[in-house]
Amino acid sequence: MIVSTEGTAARFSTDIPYGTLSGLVLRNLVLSILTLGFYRFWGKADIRRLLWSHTLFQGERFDYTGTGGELFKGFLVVLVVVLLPLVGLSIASQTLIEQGRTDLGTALAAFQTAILVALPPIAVFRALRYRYSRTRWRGIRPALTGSTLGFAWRTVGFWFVLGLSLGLTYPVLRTRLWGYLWNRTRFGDQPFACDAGARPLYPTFLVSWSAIVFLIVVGIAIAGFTSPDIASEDAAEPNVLVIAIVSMAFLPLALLAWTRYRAAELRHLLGHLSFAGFTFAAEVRTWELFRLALVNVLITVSTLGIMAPLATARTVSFLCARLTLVGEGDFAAISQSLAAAPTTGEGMVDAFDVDVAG
Amino acid sequence: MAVAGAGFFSDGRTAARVPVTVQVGPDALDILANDGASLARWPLASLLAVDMVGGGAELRLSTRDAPDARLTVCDAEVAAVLVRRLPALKRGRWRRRRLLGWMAAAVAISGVFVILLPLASARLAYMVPFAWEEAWGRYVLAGLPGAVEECQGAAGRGALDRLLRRLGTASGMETNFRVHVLPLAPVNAAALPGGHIVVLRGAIDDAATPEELAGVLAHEVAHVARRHVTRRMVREAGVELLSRVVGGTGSAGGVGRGLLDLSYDRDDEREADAAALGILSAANIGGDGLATFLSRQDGIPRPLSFLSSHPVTPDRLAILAGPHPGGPAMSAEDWADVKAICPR
Repeated sequence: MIVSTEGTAARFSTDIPYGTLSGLVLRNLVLSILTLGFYRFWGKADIRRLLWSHTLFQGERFDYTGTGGELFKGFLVVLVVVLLPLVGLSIASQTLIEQGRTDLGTALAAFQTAILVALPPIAVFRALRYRYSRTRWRGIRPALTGSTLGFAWRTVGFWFVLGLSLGLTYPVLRTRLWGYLWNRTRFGDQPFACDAGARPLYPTFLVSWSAIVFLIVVGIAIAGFTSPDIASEDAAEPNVLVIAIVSMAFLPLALLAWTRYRAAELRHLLGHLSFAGFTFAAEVRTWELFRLALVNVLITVSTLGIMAPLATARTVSFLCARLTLVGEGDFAAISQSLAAAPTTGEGMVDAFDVDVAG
Repeated sequence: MAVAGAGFFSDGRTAARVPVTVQVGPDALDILANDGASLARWPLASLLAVDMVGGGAELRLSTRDAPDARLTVCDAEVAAVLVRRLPALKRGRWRRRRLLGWMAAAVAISGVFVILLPLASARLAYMVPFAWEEAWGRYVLAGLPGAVEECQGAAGRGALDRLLRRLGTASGMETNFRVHVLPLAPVNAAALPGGHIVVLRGAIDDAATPEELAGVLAHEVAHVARRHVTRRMVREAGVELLSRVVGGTGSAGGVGRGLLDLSYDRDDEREADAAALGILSAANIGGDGLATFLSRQDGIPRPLSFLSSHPVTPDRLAILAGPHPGGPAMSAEDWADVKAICPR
């Protein structure tokens, strides 16, 4: 066993017991129903503990130290500080509009919309920060520094531009936000660094983008031509069979085109991520990623979302099997960071049903 | 007797991982480097279980004094000894107790909600200013399908308004009731907040006599008079809040919610039926029409029919059982105008 330096490549691995995980998911479902949903916070913590402890880096398991109680407290805080004021705001603006004070009511409604738009990225950032603070590897924890609002306004801005550009700025959005997060992430006292630019992604991206736009246009055209006359009274039912067949054929094609880009993006983003003298490398092939995504969608949809943790576990296994850290580094030189950790859980993510993905 | 076995140790200050020998004594655990030097000594009472993998093949520990330190015991025998001495390492018993506690709490909270929510919503409903209700009603109406094409046949509207005024006066409410006929085929009627009553063309087509329609309208007027609609909106806000709190955005909360709503509706319907009979009698209108109308709907499996929101149950028909004699609801000419209120 090499103690101080650990060779020229460091690897992740997983040994997730899918049977145990499924049992845990089902147990959590039953208990959540019996407790009117209260149990879900503890269930979530149990699932994370299982996933973390079956994910290994350099043969050492990760630990999840968060508790259901923290998640529950975080949820209560969000309920009081965010959800209830939002409900109040919405009632106030509606009442004002109905009573004829339209300008004030509209201003309140606009304010409410602005908050609603900004909340998902805020939730994602805070959840990430919380999860890092409750993660240990060899007792050392990662941390996310930087400001929640800085991430939120960047995210909202990039998505706004994305809409204006018909999706063409997607690689810029991805590289910038990925860079924002990783350049503010540390493990112990060691920072991560990311210098991924968007330009190298564009050749692949434009091919996928064109393919998807083409599929959408052709799909709409086919559905339009085969439907009964839209102007007639009975047009309430378009040709459902045709739409179903077109979707069945085109959705996987669109997913394939998209996956080709996502695989390239993953290789690019990870290839430009470095840490403590190591550079990440990911060997992700389109076809493998496509199969992963397809099976994950099937697992999730066929179980009405109940088995989604299995899909998460498969994604973790997939990435861990393909991720390597190449370089000369010394993990023993990494010390615990003294940054303070949040004290309550990620209530906002629960309240807005967003997830920390990709 | 001391037991010893192999393991790995990280001290929680750096990410170094050292192969060690773990030696379990009577009341402390010694962590020894391979050259025999003592790296740490953890009192057994301070041990925290991090994790157990492979049924004890890998026991991972920490200590209260240094919660970030990690000791992985890779020796099944040592792990077994530790678990035997410290049953707390094998979480379980207190978790089961915690679970029972949560279930009891959930049952208690939902019990309180089931009992208190109807009472609270009734109280709160009477506190809502009528002007708000009126605005609410208009808001809901505008969102209904067919609202833009409301039937405006002047003669028919006049007749309906006169009938409604009689029923309104009889109900003892000072509300300005307004009826809206929407050109939709389902047989249905509904009371919106603020005295707005919606009748679908299907219900007018289906009514055989003006007394049947009067029965339906009286039923809806009773809903308004008893503030059922506002009460229901307050209740829905409460249920929404509860299911947000306990169910989050997940689906588990939805099941109980549907049950709550349904049971309240049945009570409201019975109450409105009984009150409708009183209103019809006070307005001197024959009260058998509602029962006739309802029993005709029974057993017709039509989606979106009167049944879905006003389920006909034997006890409802029992409440309505007549005879309830009285005068006509309107003249034959008025009835013809009402029947023709929607343009064909």
